[in-house]
Amino acid sequence: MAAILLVEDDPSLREAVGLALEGAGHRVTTAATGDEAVERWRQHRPDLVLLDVMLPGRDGFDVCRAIRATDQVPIIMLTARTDPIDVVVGLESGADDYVTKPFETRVLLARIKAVLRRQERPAAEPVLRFGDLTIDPAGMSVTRGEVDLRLTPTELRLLLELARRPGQVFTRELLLERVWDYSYLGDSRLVDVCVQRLRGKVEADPARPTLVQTVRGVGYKLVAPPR
Amino acid sequence: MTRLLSVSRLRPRLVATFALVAALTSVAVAVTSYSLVRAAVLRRAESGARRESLATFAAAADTPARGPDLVERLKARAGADLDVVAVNDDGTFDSTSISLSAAAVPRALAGPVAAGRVALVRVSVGGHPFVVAGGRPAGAPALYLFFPLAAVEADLGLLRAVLAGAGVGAVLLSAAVGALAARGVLRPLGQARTAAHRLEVGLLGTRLPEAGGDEFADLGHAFNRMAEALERSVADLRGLEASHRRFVADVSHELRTPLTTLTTAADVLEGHSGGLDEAGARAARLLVHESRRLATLVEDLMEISRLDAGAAPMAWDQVDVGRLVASAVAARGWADAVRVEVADAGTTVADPRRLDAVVANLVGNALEHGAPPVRVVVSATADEVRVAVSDHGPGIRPADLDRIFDRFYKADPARPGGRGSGLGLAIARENARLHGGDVTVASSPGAGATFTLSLPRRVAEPLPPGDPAVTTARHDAVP
Repeated sequence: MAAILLVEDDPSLREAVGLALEGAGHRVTTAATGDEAVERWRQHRPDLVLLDVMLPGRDGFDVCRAIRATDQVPIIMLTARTDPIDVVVGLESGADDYVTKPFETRVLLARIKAVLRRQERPAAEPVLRFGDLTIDPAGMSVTRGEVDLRLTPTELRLLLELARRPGQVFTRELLLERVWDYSYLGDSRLVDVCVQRLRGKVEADPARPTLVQTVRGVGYKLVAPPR
Repeated sequence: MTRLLSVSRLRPRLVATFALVAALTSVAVAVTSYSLVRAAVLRRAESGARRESLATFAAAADTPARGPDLVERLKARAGADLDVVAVNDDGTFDSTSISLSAAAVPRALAGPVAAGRVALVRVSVGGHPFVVAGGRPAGAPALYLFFPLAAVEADLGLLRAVLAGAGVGAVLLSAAVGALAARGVLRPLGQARTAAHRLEVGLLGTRLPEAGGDEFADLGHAFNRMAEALERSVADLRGLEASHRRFVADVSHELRTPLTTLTTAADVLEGHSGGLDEAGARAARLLVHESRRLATLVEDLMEISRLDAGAAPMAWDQVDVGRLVASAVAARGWADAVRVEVADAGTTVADPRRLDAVVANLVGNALEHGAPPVRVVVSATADEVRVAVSDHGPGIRPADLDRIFDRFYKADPARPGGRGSGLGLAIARENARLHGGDVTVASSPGAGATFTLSLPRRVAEPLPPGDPAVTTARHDAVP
């Protein structure tokens, strides 16, 4: 179904996951180090990157940032369970989601499916305008004036959810369900870090957000700028 | 106040001891010296009186005067203050003092005087003390010389008063010195007590001063050595704990990847088991089943290791317990076999993932070891939220009830190994305890079992134990 770049240094795990992904219908390319990962990405331009954070030499976060500099390809991190810092750093580097080792195959496949779904263009939705910001759902792009802000599919999906109902407050649980497909016990950091990244791209002053606002104790909402 | 004055306390003891010693000493000294002085003074008065009376009797023998003239003359010539009473044979008497008559003469003297001897006696006449000398000089009537002791008695009285006053003064002074001595002792003792309390609350750097060279310096030195040893041993234990935690982290890190490979490959094999022969398919099934069991066991071991090491992080959040329980059941596809009743929503502050783990364990156990229908009741009071999971299974024997939370305890060894690791209930209970709550069980054979999770209701995250606010509060309690 999709061309996946699998970046994992352990050869046995690499092989096992590769088998599982192919069994689910995906096409798999692999890389064992950070440098190899960047190389393969450039060569193959995959539909999705599965990125282990613990790599020899150049680490996963670095690879993530390098890819994100020019590409909005979906990235899912493979993290260690006991390190909470990993998750936040990975998300801040630009990852869309994460799966902790040891993971169940079906969980991995579900996350892949969820993030690929975010790339699907929603049918026939009108263009939304907020000030000089233009959100084109069908075209999957967000522009300010003439400049494409280059949001990742996840960031765009998040913005769309909020923008469809300006002024409405969305809880983290709701956003986790609608954007990330987590129906239960999703990690609210996914939402928080994504909002942070989104603000970095769409707000005039990310430290003082006017478009995507926090409602303390509840969640987030989009506030249309006054005419 | 009674505690301050009670004799078991040092200050009153010291003061009382000093005062008692002073009192006993001054009483002994006063009594002894007073008796000696009194005896000496009186003896001197008597011997003076004796000398004077002999001289007077001699003078009486020389003079021809008789009657009032005699007594006046004798009194006049006497070197000391005395009064003379001359008693004639016919009972009449002459006296130099109106207050002294023949009746005043002590009867004890009558005999010796009649026998011609000179005798002395000390007696009180009309409330006044006298030494009375009696004698019968040749040719003269019986003569009785009254030497007044009033002055002597007055002096002795003054001595008594001075001694008594000095004694009281000595006792008070001693008591004061005792109190001062007590303070000198109590202050370093108070310091030692404060230091001990500070050690107790964990301020292991506390030390006592060692200057002075006295016993308190010795105490300080001994205390400081103890505190150092304690500090070292705590540091060692912490070091051990830290290296234990590192070990757990390292092991978990190392196991993570091969475990994932195992379970992933097993999943792939499961998908291809149709292409295997019977033996192969059965082997594949075993592999899949056991590798999943292994993964669960390792996960649980890691978790309980973290819980033991106190390294389990809590992610506190507002939780609607009723909703969490319902979601936990639904997310695992148990909604058909489990009935969830929410009597009260029971909102509190808790760690949602840990609560989910507890609920999943209790309900999973009920489904596996008990029997459907499984009933979950969520209830709440002002202080507590409870989740009671009941099944209709065979129940648990009383002998097993106590041990069912033990690690790896199998109530029924004959039962085939289930999916669990044997650690589920132990972890569930630890998770409950991290919240300040508990998991308890009630059951009787044949009547199913009810496991109850109880949590204190919170409005905010509890303060961590090392928080300065907590330590300070206890420290201030040191008197």
